Amino acid sequence: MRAALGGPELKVLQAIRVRHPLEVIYQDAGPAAIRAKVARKWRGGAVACYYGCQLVRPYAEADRAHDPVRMDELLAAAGVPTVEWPLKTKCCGGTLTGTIHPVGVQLNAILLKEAARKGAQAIVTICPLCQYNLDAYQVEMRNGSRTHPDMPVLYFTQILGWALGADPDSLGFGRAIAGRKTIAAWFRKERTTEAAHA
Amino acid sequence: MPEEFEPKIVAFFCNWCTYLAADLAGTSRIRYAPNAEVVRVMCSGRIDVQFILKAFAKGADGVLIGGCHPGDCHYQEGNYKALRRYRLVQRLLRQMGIEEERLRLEWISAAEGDRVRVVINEMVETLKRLGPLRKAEGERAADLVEVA
Amino acid sequence: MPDREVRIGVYTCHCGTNIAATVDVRAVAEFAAALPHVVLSREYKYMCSEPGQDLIRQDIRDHNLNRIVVASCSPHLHEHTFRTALKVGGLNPYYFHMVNIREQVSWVHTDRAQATKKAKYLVRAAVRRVGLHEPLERGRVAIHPDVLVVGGGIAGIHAALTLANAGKHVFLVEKEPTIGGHMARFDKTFPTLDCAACILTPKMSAVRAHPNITLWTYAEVTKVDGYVGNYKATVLRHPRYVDEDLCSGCLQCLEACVYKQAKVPDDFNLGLSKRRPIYIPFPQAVPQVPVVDPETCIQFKSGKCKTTCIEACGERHAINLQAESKVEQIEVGTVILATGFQTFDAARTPYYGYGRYPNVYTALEVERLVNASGPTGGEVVMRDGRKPQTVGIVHCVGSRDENTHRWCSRVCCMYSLKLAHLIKEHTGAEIFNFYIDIRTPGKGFEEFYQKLLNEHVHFIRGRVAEVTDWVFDASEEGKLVIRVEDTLAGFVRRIPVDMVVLATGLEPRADAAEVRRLFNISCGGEGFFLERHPKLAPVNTFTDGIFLAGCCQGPKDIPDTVAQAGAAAAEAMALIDAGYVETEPNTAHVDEAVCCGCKTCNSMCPYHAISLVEEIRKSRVNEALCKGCGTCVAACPSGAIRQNLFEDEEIFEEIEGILSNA
Repeated sequence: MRAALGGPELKVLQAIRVRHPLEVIYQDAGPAAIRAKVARKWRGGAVACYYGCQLVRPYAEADRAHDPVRMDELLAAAGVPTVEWPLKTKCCGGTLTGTIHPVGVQLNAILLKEAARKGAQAIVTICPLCQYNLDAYQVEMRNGSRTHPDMPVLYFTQILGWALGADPDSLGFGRAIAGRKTIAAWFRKERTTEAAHA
Repeated sequence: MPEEFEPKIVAFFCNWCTYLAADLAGTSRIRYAPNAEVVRVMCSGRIDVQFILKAFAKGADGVLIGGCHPGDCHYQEGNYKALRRYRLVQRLLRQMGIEEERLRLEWISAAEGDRVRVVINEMVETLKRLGPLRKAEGERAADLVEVA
Repeated sequence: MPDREVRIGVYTCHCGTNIAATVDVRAVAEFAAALPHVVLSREYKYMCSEPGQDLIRQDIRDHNLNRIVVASCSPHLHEHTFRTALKVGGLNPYYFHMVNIREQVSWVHTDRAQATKKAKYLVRAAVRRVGLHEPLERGRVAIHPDVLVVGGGIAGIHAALTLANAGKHVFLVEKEPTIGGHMARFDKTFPTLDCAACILTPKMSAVRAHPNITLWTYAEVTKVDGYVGNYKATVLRHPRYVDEDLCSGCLQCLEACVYKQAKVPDDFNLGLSKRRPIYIPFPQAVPQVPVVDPETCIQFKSGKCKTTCIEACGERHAINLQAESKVEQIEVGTVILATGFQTFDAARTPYYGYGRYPNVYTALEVERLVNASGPTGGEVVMRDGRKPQTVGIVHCVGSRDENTHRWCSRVCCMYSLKLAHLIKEHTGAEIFNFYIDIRTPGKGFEEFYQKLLNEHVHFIRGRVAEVTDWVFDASEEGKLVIRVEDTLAGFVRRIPVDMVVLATGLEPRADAAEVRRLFNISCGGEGFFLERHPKLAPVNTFTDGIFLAGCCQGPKDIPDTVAQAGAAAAEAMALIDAGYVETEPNTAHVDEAVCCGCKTCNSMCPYHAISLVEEIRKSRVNEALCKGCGTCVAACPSGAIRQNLFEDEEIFEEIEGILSNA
C-alpha cells in the first residue's frame, strides 16, 4: 500500500480492519437481537438470499464458503421466509455487464430463473453491484417474452429496516427498477400504521 | 567481522522424537543450516543443567533442546522434567548476562521433519543477529547502544 | 580407561555417494587419524556390508583395537549391526559409538566445506566419548508366550489365526459386538469379485472355534503397563445383556421384541435401514449372540416393558438385563494393533451435496445397497424410491486434496471400478467415473479396468467441481448435475445423473491418538500409526513387542492387509519362539558411596524402578524395571546415580569434542 501511495507525503498510519455490514449486524447484534426488535409482520412472499462472491472468496471468514447462511438467519429472525437454492454464491458477472454485456446479462438471467424455480418471489443481496446487476437488466432479459420473472431485487438492510419498523420512505424502495408492482404490494405504506397500532 | 559469523549450536535431541525427526528430515532431503551439532540422549529428561552450562562455557553460541510433545514422552514424563530444568537454566543465564534467545527448548515429534529445519534455521538467524557469545559478554550496556 | 591404553579405530563410510557426494570422506578420515588415541582411521564405501564389517573384525585383532567409531548413517539403522561386528571380533559391543553423518549431515546440507567440517567435529566428539565407554552386558527378559491382538477386522482375524495355528494363545479384543470389521460390509471384493462374506465368514468361524483364541467382542483395552515380553493389559468388556455361553443363536428374541417396527438407525447399514433395540449386527455375526442397546430399549429407559424377548428365550435364560461390565486383566508378551480405519466424512466436502441431496451416496452406503443382505435386498434403489438410470462416481473425495487429506487412499479407484460394475449389473444404468488418475497397481487390477472399459462404462478425467440441482434446461430436470472440467477434451461439462456415488477415502480413526498413547507408540504426520521404517520394518513400531497390521498403519487393500497381518504374526512369533529378548544395558545405577538417601530420584521414575533400601538408607535401581531414560540421573543432587552409556563425563566429552578448536 505504501508503494502504491508513492512518496513520503502520504502514509498509512495504522492497519484498518474492514468489515462488511452483514458481518457487523450478524456478529455485533445477531439474529436474537433482530428477533427481539421486530415491529412489522412480514406479509410478503418467500425470498432467495443471494450472497455473491466476495463475502466468501478468497477467505471464508464472514460465513461458510460453500453454503453461506448468515443472511438467511437474519432474515428468518425478522420473520421472512427464505428458500433453499444452489446458486447462493454463483457469480453475477460483476462489471461484465458493462464490458462484455451479453455474458453479464446471461449470468444474471441464470440466477433469476433458478431463484424463481425454487419458489422465490424476490432476491435479497448483500452487494450493491449484485443488486444492480440483477435489477437493471430484467427488461432486456425478457425481450418481450412473458416467461421471465419480474422479480424485485432488494438489499438486505431494506428488508431488515422494514421489519424493524423504519419509515418506508427512508428505505429506498422507490429506487427499484424491476418488480415494482410486487414491492408496492409488499411494502404498502398504510400497513405501517396498522402495525404501529396493532 | 571479515568473514560472516557462523554460530555454533549444540543440540541435545531425545532419541525417540526429535532425533527421529532429524533423521526424517534427512530421508526427506530437507535442507537446513549446518550450524547445529547433535548430542543424542535417550530422553530430554536426561539433560542435566550442567550440560547446557558446559556447552556455553566451551564456546557454543546457542543450545537447542529437542524433546517429545507434552503427553507424548516415550518415558511418560521425562520431558516435563526437562521443561522444569529449562526454566531454571533460563533464570540462571539471565543472571549471568547471557541472552535468553541463546537457549531454546522445542517439542518436535518424530513425524515433524520439517520443523527441525524451521527451528534450526530460525535459531541460526537469531544467533547471527546476537553475535558470538564471547563478544556480547563483558560489554557495558551503554557501549552496546552506541555501537548499534 | 584407567589402566588400559585406549586404542581407537575410526571408520568413515562413503555409503556409495550418499555421504561421499557432500562430505569429503577422505578429509574426515585423515582428520580422525590425527586425533588422540586414534590408532587407525579408514574410509570405506559401504561399512554396513559384509566386507565392511569384516574390516572391523580383522582390525580389532590385527591392531589390538579396543574402541571403535563408525561415521555413517543413523544409529537407528545400523548401531546393532556394528555392535554385533565388535562382538564377533572379540570386543565388548558397547566399546562402540556411531556418528550420524548421513541423515543429519550429507542429506541435509549442501555446502561441502561446511558439511565436512560438521562431520569432522562430530567424529571428534565420538572419539573423545568412546574412550570413556565401559564394557556392558545385555540383560535378558523372558517373553510371555501369549499375544494380544487389538481389532477384529480381517487384519486382526488373520494375525490371530496364524498365531493360534502355531500353537500360541491369542486374546482377540474387538470394540464392536461382532468381528469382521469393514470387510463384513462389502458385497464383492476386487478384482476377482469374490463375495466378501463368503471369504470372510469361514475365517470368522475359525476364530470362534479355535481353542487357542480367546475372543472378547464388545470390549476395549483401557490400560497397558509393562514392556516387551511382559505387558499387562486391562480389558473392559461391555455388557451385551445376553449371556454368550447360554445363548444358542436362535435369534427368536429379535422377532419377539415389542417393537413391531424397527425404529433405531442401523449402524451396520450406515443408517439406511432400522433395527430394534435388541439386535444382531448382521446375520453372520460372530459371536452369534444378540446385543441389547440400553439407550433405546424400553426396559432400560422406563422399566415398563413386557420383556417378550426374555419370554421368547424360554428355558435357556440367556437374556440378563442386569448384567454388568467386566474388567479382565491379562498378561501377554506381544501386542498386534489392527484397529483399522474410518471412512472420510463426506459432509466435509459440502460441494458434493452429501446430506443435502438425498440421492448422493458414499461408496460404503452403495456397498450396502448392492449387497443382497443389505437394506434394499440387493436392489439399487435410491432414497426417493427410484432406480437410477444414470450414475456418476466421483473419485478422490477427501483424498489427494490440500483442503482435506493430501494422501491417496489407495483402494478407491479399484472399488469405484467394482461398484461401477456391480451397479451396472444390477440396474443396467449408464455409469460415469470422474477421476484424476486411474490407479490399478495390483495383480489383476489393470485387467479389471480393461473389463470395465469393455462394459462401456464412461471415464471422464477431471476432478468434480460440484454436484448441484441447478438445471440448465429441461433435459436436466429432476437430476443432479455434475459439473466437471473434462481435461482430456478441454472444456467444462455438465453431466446430469440420477445418482451420485462419492468415492470417499480412508483416514485414521478418530481415537487413533488415544489408542497410540495407550500403547506408547507414535503416530505419523497424517495420524496413522507410525512404523519403525517405511521400507524395511513396516509392521514394527519403535516400541519393542508392539506390531501393526492393516489400515491402522496406512490405507491399503485386503491382500496387503492380510500380508501385513501375517508379517506382524511372524514378528511376534519370532520373539516368542526365541523365548527371551535382550534388554539394552543403558540403565541407571546408584553409586552407594555417594548417595545420601534424599529420595529425590524415587519420585522421578515413572516406572517405580527406584526405591530406598531402608537398611542402608540408600536408593537402589531395579534394573529389570529401568527403561534407561536418565531423568533420575539429571535430577540427583549428589550425582550419585549414573547411567550406563550416557554418563555425565561421556556427554561432556561429546560437547567438548564438538566445540573445541583443537
